[in-house]
Amino acid sequence: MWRYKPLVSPRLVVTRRLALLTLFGGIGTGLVLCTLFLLTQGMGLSDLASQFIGYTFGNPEGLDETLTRAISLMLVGLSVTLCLRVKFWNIGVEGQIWAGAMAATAVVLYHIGPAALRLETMFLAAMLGGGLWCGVCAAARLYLRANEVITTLLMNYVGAMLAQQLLYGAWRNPRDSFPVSQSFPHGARLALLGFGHVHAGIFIALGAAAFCFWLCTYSRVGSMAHAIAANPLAARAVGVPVARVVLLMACLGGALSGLAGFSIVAGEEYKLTQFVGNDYIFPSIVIAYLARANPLGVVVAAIGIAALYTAGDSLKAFFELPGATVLTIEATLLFCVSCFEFFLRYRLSFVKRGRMETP
Amino acid sequence: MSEAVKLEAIEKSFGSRSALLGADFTLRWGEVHALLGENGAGKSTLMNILSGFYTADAGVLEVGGQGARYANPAAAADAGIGMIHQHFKLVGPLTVIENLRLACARAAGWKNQGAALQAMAELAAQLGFHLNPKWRVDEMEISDRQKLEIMKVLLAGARILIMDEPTAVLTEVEAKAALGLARQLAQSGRAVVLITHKLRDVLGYSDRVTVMRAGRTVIDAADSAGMTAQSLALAMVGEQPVVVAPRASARPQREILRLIRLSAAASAHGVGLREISLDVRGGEILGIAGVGGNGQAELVEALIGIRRATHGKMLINESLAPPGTEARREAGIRCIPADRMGMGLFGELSLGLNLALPRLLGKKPERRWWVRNGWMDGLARAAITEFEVAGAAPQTPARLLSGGNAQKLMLAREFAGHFSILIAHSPTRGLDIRAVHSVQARLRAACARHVAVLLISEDLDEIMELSDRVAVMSRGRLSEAEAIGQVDRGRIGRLMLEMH
Repeated sequence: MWRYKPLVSPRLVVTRRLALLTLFGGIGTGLVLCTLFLLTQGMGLSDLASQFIGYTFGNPEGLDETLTRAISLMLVGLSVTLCLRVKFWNIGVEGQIWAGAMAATAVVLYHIGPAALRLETMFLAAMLGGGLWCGVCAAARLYLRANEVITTLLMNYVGAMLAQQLLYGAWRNPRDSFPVSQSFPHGARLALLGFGHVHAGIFIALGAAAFCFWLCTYSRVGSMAHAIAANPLAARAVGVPVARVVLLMACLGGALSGLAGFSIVAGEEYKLTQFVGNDYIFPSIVIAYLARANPLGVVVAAIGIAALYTAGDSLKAFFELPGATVLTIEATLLFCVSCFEFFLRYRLSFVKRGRMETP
Repeated sequence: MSEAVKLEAIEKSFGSRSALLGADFTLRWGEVHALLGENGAGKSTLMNILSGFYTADAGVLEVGGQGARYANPAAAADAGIGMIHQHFKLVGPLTVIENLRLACARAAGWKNQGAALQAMAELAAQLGFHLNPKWRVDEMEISDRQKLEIMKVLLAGARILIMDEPTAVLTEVEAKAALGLARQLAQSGRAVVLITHKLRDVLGYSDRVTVMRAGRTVIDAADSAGMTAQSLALAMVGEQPVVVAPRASARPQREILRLIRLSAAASAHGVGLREISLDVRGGEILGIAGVGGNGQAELVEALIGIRRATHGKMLINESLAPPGTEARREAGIRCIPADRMGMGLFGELSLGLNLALPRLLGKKPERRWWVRNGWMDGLARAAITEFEVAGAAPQTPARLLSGGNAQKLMLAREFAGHFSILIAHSPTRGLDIRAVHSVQARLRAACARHVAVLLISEDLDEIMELSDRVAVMSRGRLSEAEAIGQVDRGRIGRLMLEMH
């Protein structure tokens, strides 16, 4: 028999220090497990270090790839974060990216708005498209009681299919008949910053993060969102316009994903392709979760996850590891971080067995 | 009479908060033992240690003369200790017999439905209960649920029964029956602990009484016969209880709130409103008496604007009330709901944010673009001082407050700023004497400031003491309001039961 037995008791208060400790404990454990996993895949420790740290951050090419990818990842991470603030699960960032990208492309193809303000018009159109894509699901939840996990998820397919329809139909490139839109003229492209592929979208993403931080922490809407997440009935009873706040947060969240679509077509591809909105759902949730729904944390988490993809690309190329490797690592990290949240809610202590009622 | 339970110098703390600082308690077979104390005095914590929900940090626990320590409630139940909680631990959608089988099949050794039904029928006959085994629990009256809870504990083999404020949720008649039942159980040789803060329960129905204050035992198992309401109250609060100021006889003024034949749909398990008409003038308290669940909750919801009226009109200062909660609040309505933590406060949020939230709403929010923590903390500190919220800091989450302090926070939030109508639904339910007095004094103070106060309560004493006029609610209807001097309790009781 063990002399000590574990005792689990609920915590009354969570300090900021404890919150950080559990977060980094989770990430740390996840990284150790991932390292062990990669070692079993035939990689050495020095390979790992050079790929994950040396290449992704130390090498200009790798850093370029990481930062470029981080732009859209930040925006979708913020999108999920804003929605989470009112307990609205946005599983539909891909659909919103498609909506934003299509809206921006439509502005270019149909010459909407004054030519001098082409980029600005695209920016607004993308926000509108993404916002509507998510707002519809929020309205369905509020007025039809449709679960947003289902509706936002399904709206992904609507977005992707609509894009396919356009790319194989009206928007097909007339010159070579490939299913991609015409290339955007220079006036419809985001400026490069002179560091590889990194484009002006990074300012949009960082600006969005700052805005979201203000919105969640210092704005009236942020306080109301807090209240709605904590107790929707009491929020209604005290006069918080619950429906309006949820709609606003969901539409803003959708608009951020729409901007991600804009940054991809106007900053990276310069056209609408079939691959614009692929593989964003899972990372968006991982990023929001790792950041504990803190907009500034999203910036860090998005760069981290982007680095993971960069490293994953070179693993694919040099070590012939499958693309699922990156997904496995992401999933392991998410799993560990959510497991460590146990310690946020409960205190684990060890008490001596057989200790009787004496002090 | 031998000793059933002996607790000595029990200590228990939750994190940095000490709940018990050396509490003693002894219980004999065959007695009803009242355990009295203010909110947060440690009564429930002490009994939760006896029934295995918590383990003590230090102290001696003896049951039937032998040392004991229960790791969980199941171990305590095996030792014959059963607790009847204030919030019943029943499974809503299941039937009576299903709940019994779920809870006691193992302890009672039932092999099938027949055995369970027989055991239930025998016990029901002994106790004089009439419960249909096929009733669904969530459709039963509160008092019937309590009976089921008692049967559940007895069928699981309990010899030591702990009843946590059994009369808090019952009507007058039901409460008497429940207390009589406690006596009956004690006479059959069991030991009964009655956790309460009603002096009447102690003086009328218990053999001995233990009084706790701030985690310690201040009166240890004294004979109830030797106690008076005065001496118990003094022991409980530790000083001369606050005396409520006599009713201010300010002349009521013009009508501020008026309902004209207002109807509304029922909530999930409630009663709809049927053509309610009432008017409340500034500077008066209109009491609405009635057994809970007769449309009171729906009335509150309709008044604050979260339940839509299907019919009729609501006037504030003789103009039509705006739809929507936010606008009604701006029009001067404040509300203290019955379910503090469910519909009033935000348990997970800090005191500061709880207080700040309503100030951020409406057409003229106090902070528009920049809501600082410092501002919210300042609000919280002011409220903590003015409303004497004990054991709280601005950043404390509201769920850590005890019942009385949570209600003080509620008052601090609702009394802020200018308002003309106050709706108070069971504002003193579950509070200790001192908190009750301070809440009642606040209601009177509002009244003196010419606020129209609507007091909805199941506690007839409270209604009679505070109101200027009284109306009775029954099955969604409201009787004509009558001046308090012209009605007697008998008439109100008849209205509660007869008017349909």
